[in-house]
Amino acid sequence: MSDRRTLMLIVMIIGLVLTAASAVVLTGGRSDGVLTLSAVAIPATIPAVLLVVFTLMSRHR
Amino acid sequence: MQVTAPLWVGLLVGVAFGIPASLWGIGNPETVIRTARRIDRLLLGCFLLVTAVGSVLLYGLHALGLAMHFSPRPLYLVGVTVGGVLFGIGAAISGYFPGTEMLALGEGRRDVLFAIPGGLLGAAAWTLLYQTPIGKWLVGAANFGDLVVTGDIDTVRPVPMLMIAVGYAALCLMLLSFLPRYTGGKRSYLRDLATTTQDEHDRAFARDTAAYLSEGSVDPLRTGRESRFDRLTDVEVSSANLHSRTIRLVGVLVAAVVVASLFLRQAFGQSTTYSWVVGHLFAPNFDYSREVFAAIGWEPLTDLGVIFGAMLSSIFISRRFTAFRPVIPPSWRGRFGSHPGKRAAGCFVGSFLVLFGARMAGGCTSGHTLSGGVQLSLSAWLFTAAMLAALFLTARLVYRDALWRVRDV
Repeated sequence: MSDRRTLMLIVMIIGLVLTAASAVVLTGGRSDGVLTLSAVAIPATIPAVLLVVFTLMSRHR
Repeated sequence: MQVTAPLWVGLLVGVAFGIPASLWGIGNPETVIRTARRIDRLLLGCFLLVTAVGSVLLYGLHALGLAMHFSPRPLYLVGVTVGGVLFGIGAAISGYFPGTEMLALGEGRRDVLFAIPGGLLGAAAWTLLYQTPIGKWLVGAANFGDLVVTGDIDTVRPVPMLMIAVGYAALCLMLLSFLPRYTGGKRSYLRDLATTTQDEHDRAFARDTAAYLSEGSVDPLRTGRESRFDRLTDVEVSSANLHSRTIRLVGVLVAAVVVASLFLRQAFGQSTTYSWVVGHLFAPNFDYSREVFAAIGWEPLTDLGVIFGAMLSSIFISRRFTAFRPVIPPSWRGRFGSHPGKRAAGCFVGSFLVLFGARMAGGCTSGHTLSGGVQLSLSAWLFTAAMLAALFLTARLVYRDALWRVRDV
């Protein structure tokens, strides 16, 4: 596995863990109640940033 | 045993759905358009395979004593039928379902950036219409409630339902075995299961499928060599054999995710998120928004997970990440040319109809066709039938006999 591939995989896994962790915190670990906009919007920033990063990486050679 | 998982688990359910679904290539709008044009029957095979496996798994586990969060969508004849028709028209034009828009976003497809706003506007239009007597009539007229094949979902008896699910699965798998994947294909895979060889017709179609699926893809990893997944994505996904290993594996995985979702918390659905977002941002005091706020579960987090799963899949497995480069589906190019503005308009308008129809019908291809399908829900069958009829007819009218092979357009 190349260094670049390993690095990107690590970044992706960290991103997923952070997204899940922020969702856990913002929903309070609840299984009921109302889902607020911020409980989704804040975790959503992480995949959004990753999409931008991977797009820029793909375009700049 | 009754389980109700926390809301955040929906994120992981979405990832588990997004990875295999992206592998199948359904985030690529050309896949939906080719289904609509009856060139490639992969999506029909997906629906049959997932509902066949899923229904036996669901009612088998239920018969073993596991409590499920059954939630078939209510069967209201007018709204489900009209909604399904509008959904089919929009999907044929745009090439997108609500769920495949999330996949496409994770795969970096540029045209979905126009489809998603169209979908939000469609959801907003339904929120407005629901406020009126017409909207109430659409969902209230001929409303028979939460029906599955044996009657009301609350009266389901586990063992008889399992027997019906086994019969349904046998029927679906038989259909799948007689159904050649590509138009003009002559092979029956029930007869030819022992062999995996394909004739020249099938090989040509498979090559073209692999070509459109990888159109515009970039490799952010820049490894410059084949990965162990290349055969899986380039050869097996495009295989003319609907029983090929990857197609079956993905079908079983998607079915397992749909059933797991019903076991853990709720039905797997993807279009409610649009109404939820619209309600929060623009229409918090409308009747429909209030109903969505009260009923929302983990759908928005599931959609987020699907985006993540598709991103993982397209970068590390299939390598179909397109980095938001302008890629026009071949069928669209063959009919309307390569002008990005026309494609953007088609995505916007088509997706508007898709989401307007989905919200009117109470669900989309995820909530109705897949989740409702595994529950053997009558509204799922009505929605799917109306949607497919409109999908085929619209594609005939819109694309006519336009060229679609990658090398021709």
